[in-house]
Amino acid sequence: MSNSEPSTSTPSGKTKKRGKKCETSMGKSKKSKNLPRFVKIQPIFSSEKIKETVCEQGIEECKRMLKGHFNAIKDDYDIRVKDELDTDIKDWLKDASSSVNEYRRRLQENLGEGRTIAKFSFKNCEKYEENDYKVSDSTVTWIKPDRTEEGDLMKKFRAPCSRIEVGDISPPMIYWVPIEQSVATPDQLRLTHMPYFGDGIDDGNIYEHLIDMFPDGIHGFSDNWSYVNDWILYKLCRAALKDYQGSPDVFYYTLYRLWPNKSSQREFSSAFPVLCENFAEKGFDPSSLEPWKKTKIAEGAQNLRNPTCYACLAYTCAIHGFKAEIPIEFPNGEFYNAMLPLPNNPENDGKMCSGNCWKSVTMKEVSEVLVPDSEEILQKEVKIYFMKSRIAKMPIEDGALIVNIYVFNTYIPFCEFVKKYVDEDDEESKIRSCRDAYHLMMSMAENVSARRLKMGQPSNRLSIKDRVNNFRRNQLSQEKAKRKLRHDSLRIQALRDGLDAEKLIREDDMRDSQRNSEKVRMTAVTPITACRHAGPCNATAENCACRENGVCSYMCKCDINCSQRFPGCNCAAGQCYTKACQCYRANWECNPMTCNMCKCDAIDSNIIKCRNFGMTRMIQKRTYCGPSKIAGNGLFLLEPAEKDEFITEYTGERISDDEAERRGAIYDRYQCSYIFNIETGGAIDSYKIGNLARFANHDSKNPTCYARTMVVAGEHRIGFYAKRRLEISEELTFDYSYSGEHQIAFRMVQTKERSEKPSRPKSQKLSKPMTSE
Amino acid sequence: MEHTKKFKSLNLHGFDRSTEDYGKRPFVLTAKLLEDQKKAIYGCAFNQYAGIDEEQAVATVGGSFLHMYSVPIDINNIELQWSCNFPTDKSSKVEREESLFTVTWCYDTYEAENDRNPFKVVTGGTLGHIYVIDYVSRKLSNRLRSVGWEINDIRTCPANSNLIVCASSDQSIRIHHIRNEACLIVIGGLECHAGTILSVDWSTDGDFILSCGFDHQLMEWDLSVKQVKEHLERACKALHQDKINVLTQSQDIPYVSKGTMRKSAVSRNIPDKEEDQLLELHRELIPRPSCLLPIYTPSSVSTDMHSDYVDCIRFLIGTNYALSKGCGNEKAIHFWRFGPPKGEVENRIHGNVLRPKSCTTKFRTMNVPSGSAWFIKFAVDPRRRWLVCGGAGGSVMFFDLRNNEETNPTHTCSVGSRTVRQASFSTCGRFLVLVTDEGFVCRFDRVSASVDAKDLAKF
Repeated sequence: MSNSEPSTSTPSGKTKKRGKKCETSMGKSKKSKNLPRFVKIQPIFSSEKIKETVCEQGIEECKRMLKGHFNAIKDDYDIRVKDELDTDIKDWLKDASSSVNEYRRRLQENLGEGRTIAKFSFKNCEKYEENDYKVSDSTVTWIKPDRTEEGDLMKKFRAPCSRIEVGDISPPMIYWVPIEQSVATPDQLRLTHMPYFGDGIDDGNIYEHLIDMFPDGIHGFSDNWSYVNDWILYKLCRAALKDYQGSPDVFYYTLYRLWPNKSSQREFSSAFPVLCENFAEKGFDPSSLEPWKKTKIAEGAQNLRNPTCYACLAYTCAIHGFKAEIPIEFPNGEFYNAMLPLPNNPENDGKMCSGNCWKSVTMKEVSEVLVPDSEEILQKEVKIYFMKSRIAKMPIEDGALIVNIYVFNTYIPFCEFVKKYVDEDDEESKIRSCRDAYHLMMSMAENVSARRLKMGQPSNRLSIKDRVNNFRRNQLSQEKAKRKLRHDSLRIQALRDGLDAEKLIREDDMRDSQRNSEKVRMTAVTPITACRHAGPCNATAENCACRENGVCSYMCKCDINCSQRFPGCNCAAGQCYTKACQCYRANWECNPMTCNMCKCDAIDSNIIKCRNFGMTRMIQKRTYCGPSKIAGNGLFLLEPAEKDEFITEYTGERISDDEAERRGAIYDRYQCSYIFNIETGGAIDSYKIGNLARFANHDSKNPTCYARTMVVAGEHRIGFYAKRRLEISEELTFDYSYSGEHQIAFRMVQTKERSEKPSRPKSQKLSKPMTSE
Repeated sequence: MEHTKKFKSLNLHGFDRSTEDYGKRPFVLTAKLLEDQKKAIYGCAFNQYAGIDEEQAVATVGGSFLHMYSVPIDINNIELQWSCNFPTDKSSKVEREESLFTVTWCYDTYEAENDRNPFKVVTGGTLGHIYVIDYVSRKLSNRLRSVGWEINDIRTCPANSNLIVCASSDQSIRIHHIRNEACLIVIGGLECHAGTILSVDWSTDGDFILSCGFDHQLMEWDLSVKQVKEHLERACKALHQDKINVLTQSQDIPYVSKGTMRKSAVSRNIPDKEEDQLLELHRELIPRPSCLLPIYTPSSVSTDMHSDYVDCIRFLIGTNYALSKGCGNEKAIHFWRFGPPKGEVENRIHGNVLRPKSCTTKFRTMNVPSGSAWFIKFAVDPRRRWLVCGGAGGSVMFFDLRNNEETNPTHTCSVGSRTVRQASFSTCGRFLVLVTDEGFVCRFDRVSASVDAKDLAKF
């Protein structure tokens, strides 16, 4: 991945930038010669921070060792290079006398034998007609020679000059890849180059500002000790790692110090296995030379969406330990019940279906497995229970399918059931006769006590209204608990500082009510994950992944009656666009798993559909990009939109908070930004990849839409909604709130814009959407 | 007068082409003129499709002007034949003006088959437009438009004279057919250059493209994949008709200005609903042909060859070796190629197949003493002997490609006091033309070893 570089438009008037690289280079050269710029050593394999003095000694020793190995390898490399120079390249150079114009040769090949290349001559030029074109004169000054062949002085030479229309002029735009969904990209800890901020700007000064945010450094601010490529690096590592006994971080850092333009320390630390895969002989194990990589324990899985340790998901990870999180997989209970007929019926003795009929089983044999009571014996059938998990793990050859079918067909006489569903000619199956089927049912029957039976059954499903009330009560109690904790901390603070506790609490309540007019605000603090654990979900359940957010989604495995489980809305169709809708109020999109009445899963275009599912179904308004009066390109509508209607989603690179900070520092210098912050952490940057929403401009006075972070299928996404009814061809603008440096940068731009004279046209800028919190 | 007589007495071009060059002074400045527009000249290009014995034409671009010169063989002069001006409409509120940066020549095979003039001059600059100009009628044949910002380099495909590749400041590389407004291939994305792309070049067989730019990286893009080749063949076949601009870039509504869209929106309400639905249904069923093929991943990437901006990259004709020039702190030209050194094989198995290659082999480094400024493009001698590079202060540096030990210029001369922007050799190898920031156009002639040294010293 590469770091992106926002662009600025060319300043009006003359283009002078291409001749002033000297000034920038001189400043850069001056500073870099005085002080080589290296970043500090990073603790990648060491858990403790290494002291700088010890580190410097290790680096010097490692440098000497590496240089010794490098010189030998470089000699071998030089021999190979000289060999190629003396053979292949020399042959190419010697071929000069018979050189052929490759362009004409290939053109002749394309034209074929029958045609020849047209002859080029200026005599073929047409003469200008008087009224045909707007023709003027173009002159050049002869300097050497300044006379014609006849000796006449010729200072100015004139030739006709035709005028060619330029055509439509579009605002400048950086190429971007259109996508429909956001793509997660890793952090880029190393800047590939110092971006071009304009002529005359000293790169050294900008380096001081940016280097703190890039722990792996910036490419190009230090020189390599000598030339190195992948092959030399591979040879060097194999030779050096064989005898190296020091710290692995010092080793990789020394490689970085010698060749800072090759890779960073972090990249060097992971490069050797890749190089061995490219150049090593078969069977070579890179970990034999890097034993420290064996002991590095993989990090645990962050959540279900970003699993990094798959063993943890199976609850048998040897590194992170065993976690008894038994999920309740079967919401309708763990057991099936069925009725099994009993043999020893004199009336049916004469009606056996075959020699292997189930009636040939004796009652004594049944009594050894089942324990029918006297009433069941009189009724000639016994009630048995099948465990669902056992059936789920059973192979089909052992009769799992037959048991499953029988559970729902116990009313059929057993002989007819076997005749219908058991294949007597199936050689792979173990169940091939009536008696075999009966024995299968007997063996699958579980001895279930009344207590366990009760435990395996779910409680009665509460109505939607009850679940909603329980959920709201739960959220309210959580909010009260948070307020109580906050008040307790304020009292402790007041006691320590000698302030009035009641006054502080009153101020906090007032500030909280101003910020949040809702009694309960469902604000997610972490990305939504699915919880799978035993026991109820609440704030004290350690194994509950939803403990921090305080809300369980439909993806969780908790009981449907869980008071923390989001119940969804109970609105009529098409009504989910006001605060009365619980999903809309909580900034969650409706979901058919939780919402039953609003028809958010309807696909018929004739019926009224839910209005709170735009991002889930990716139904967006059609838009186009065109020149804007505000700045550069703008976003315009192709369909009308009602108030509060979903228009489009903002997509791009899904980056972390630190990465957003790094890119924001660079974008601020260009006074434009495509970063949109997400409340639960991270941001979306649509500079390199995105959709048309990236062209929405900022308008603080009359924005036409507003941005909203919605929970869509458990994922936080940013959507644009109409502020009022919008017609076709209206420009989509929105107001964003900057924070910190971005705010300052934008204010400077705004002030600059305002200070311009109204008669002078404004300079063209790229569209500058947003950073929002 | 005296210069002309001395030039005739030298008889520089009366010898056999296989004669060796004069070692101490292989090229001599024979002509110099100043374009009166008083603007920097950024690009120059000889017509690479002219034969050895035909007239040699050189085009220069700078500011909003394109000048066309002929280089006669018997007189030491550069004769201005015609020029073109690309003025911006001043009534428009847009403050950007056209400033041309690069130029190249193309050969339109369809026009040749119909006995019309096939030679086209292709140029581009600040606005991102590519102008295809017919050199006979001096009119605009086509205007190619798909680049979002400045065009820094345009190169003609050696294998297909209708295709061009252009490097742009919008961090993308686009492959155009000169008869189609939209581009055929766009190269860009997360894996592409993170900064402005300054230079591109084709390999001789047209299978690879090398690119470089602000981000210190060199990238190689593979066009020999079956999918890409078929796409180009299909597009070239469709354009080999009597129509131009038949392929569009997107199947959606094209880029239009706001006023036009408003009119279209109003006109959509005039017919009744049934006709409107029928039109929409028709458009959905039969989409217009789309010719855009995106390429997102390079086949090779080098991040360790250069440590500052890379502003020029060229293939050695007929080989897979490359020359690239760094500027800023790194004032050097590197001679290198992708791949491990000779005798070594790189195993591309398992996950490494999806990763770009990164191993390079460097053969030589040539120092450019005054090469700090960026946007200076060098030229390689078609007779495979010299490498010419301009620099700041009007210096012109010659490097001997046959002397592998020398890292400094073989010799240096001066043509002015401002930066020399580009050098260009004629395909016959006799002439070298340089352009500078001051507006000078300088002609150099090759000197044979059999030329009298005394006469040369007097010139």
